[in-house]
Amino acid sequence: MDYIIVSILTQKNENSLNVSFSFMTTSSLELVLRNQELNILWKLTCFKGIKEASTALVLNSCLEMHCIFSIKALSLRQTSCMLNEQSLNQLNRMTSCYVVHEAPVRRVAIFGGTHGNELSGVFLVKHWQENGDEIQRTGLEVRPFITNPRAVKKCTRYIDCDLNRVFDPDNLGRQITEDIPYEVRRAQEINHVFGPKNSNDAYDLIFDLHNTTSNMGGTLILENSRNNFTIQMFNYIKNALAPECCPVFLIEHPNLKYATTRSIAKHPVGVEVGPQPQGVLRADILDKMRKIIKHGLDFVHIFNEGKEFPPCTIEIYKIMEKVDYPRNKNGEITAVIHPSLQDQDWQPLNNGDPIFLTVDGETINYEGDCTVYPTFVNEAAYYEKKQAFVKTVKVKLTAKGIRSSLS
Amino acid sequence: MAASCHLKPLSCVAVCGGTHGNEMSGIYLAKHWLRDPMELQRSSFAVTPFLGNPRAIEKCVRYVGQDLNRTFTTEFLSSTEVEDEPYEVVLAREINQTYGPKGSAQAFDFMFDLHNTTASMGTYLIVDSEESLLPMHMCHYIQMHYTRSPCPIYLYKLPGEETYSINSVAKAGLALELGPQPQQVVRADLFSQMRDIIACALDFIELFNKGTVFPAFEIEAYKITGRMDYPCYPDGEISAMVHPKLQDKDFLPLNPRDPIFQTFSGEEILYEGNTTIYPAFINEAAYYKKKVAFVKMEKHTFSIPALSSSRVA
Repeated sequence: MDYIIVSILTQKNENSLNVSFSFMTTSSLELVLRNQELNILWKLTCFKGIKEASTALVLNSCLEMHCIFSIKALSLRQTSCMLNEQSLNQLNRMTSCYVVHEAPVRRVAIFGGTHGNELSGVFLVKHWQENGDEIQRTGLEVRPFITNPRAVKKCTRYIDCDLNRVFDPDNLGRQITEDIPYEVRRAQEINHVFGPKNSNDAYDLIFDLHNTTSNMGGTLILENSRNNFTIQMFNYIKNALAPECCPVFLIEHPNLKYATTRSIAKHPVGVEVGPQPQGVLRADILDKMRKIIKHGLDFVHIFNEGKEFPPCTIEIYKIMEKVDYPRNKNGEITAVIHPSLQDQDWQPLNNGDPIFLTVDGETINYEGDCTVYPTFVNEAAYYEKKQAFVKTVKVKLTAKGIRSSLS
Repeated sequence: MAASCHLKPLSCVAVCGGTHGNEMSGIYLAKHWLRDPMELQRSSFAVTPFLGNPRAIEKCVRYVGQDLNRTFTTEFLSSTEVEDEPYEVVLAREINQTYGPKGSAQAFDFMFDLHNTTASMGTYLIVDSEESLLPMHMCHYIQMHYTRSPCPIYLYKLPGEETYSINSVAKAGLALELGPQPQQVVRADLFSQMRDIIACALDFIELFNKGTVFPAFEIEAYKITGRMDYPCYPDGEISAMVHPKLQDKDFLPLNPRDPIFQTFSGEEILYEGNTTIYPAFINEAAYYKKKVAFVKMEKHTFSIPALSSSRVA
């Protein structure tokens, strides 16, 4: 599939807006920037490859300027531009200078034990259920909750099926019969308490706590590239934790996105901290997760109190593709993650770099046109999901300015 | 120093992977050797690779009914078949038939058992006691010839305790414990380390069989003295974590008043023993069920007499 990756950086001066683009296209294309009257402000034709361009757009006298940005493929073959609509919306948001008023966030939940053997979340939630002082903030209700208690009791990922994959409309609406998987029944119960998903009654914000055996550090997972509130929160958390790294992983994708437990909230936030083996509780990993939650809750509190957060741009990693292990005709794995890739989550992977090592000592290299950033490298739970690692690309994501609508 | 010892050359050697179904280095190695046994071959003896707990391996869990590596005691091995027995009890009896019987003259001469741990143990060589001469010499040989990382020796049998591990079925045995590696994960680096150490150990057996005289030596080894449990709430849940200062410090000295646990409210719990000990298996996932935080050991130096095979007159 041909695709375009677009990253956009804007800098607003007194009378003008400087817009810089960097993108990669696998086919020739034409970029056209028009104003509301559809007059062409700027046009650029480019051929296959990596391109950068910039222009300065003159703002008119009123505070707002809306721009329409279109991308047209010039090649004869019809290309599908996966991010086309997204980048259009992104640009539209960015060139608007006003601040969005968002509803205050009053009902927050913290989920632990969505996977019963990912212990940091389990123990944090259990501790907060006994003593919740640390997670209280004035003006909001914060509820810690164990989502999969049977799996937690057995210290296993799940009983019948992965709870973090069944919050789709089909499973949520399924009729309860005797042989329904435990996790589907549980999902419906959780949707009843914290949802219903996509309704106004749903919780405002859910933090879903996870661990991984991969060396991902403290990763924040974003479900929706248009959720200004969440992007602003992630920007706040990243700044609070700096210089420690806090990668942001965007799982928005037509095929690869999955229906998570947290997706029932208006603002779903995934917190994935590793490396930690399943069934093990490390004090340093728990502490990292705890700090992320603390800063997340601080952000909500400050936002509710009326602080305006100006537009911000953060660097994120967007999911592109899953890569399975090499297998033989019986489906058995024939090579393992290469030592050069092991523990190198979020580090650049280039064409020709080793990715797998067979039992006979043969190296299998990565073949690809562009640099990717692998993650979930050698995650224990993903062997059965046929995932050795996930390829991501670095993208800049912008959020509008926000302010609580009650202030 | 004791006089030199002579033991019979070894002819039947077994290598077991997957005694615990989620410890992947040994499982992948055993599966590889079952498909292609070439690299295990030596001229003076036969090597049989096998998978210890097939059902647990299929489900990628430690065990199905009970821990196979605790089932090789007289109680389980000599019990008569009954209905509803745990899978591992039946399996242990079959393994005892094939590679034993334990304690008899027909038993295999030697068995290697391959394990992983989530603790930061590096490469551990596990022997039942310093009185097992052949394994002690083998460990010494490995320490001298596999120099990429230290290979400390861990003596696991408590005095008076019966042996219970899978390799106790054979006349002599050695377990390898490599970590840290999460359960269900294969790390290429540990996989190749384990492979190289087995190759080194097989070389030792070949040299021994061919009449090499191994001189006496002094060797440091760690001997288990007990276990340290997690502090728990009345309902049995653990109430504190391994302290960050103790995490990953396997085999480093733990002194009285050093921090060992940290509660969820941030309080420190200190080690209350009188003497310095050496902890191992710090934060091993499989030990949470038994609420064991780490194993306590003492460092000893042992004098091991010379050894050669009885072929040499």
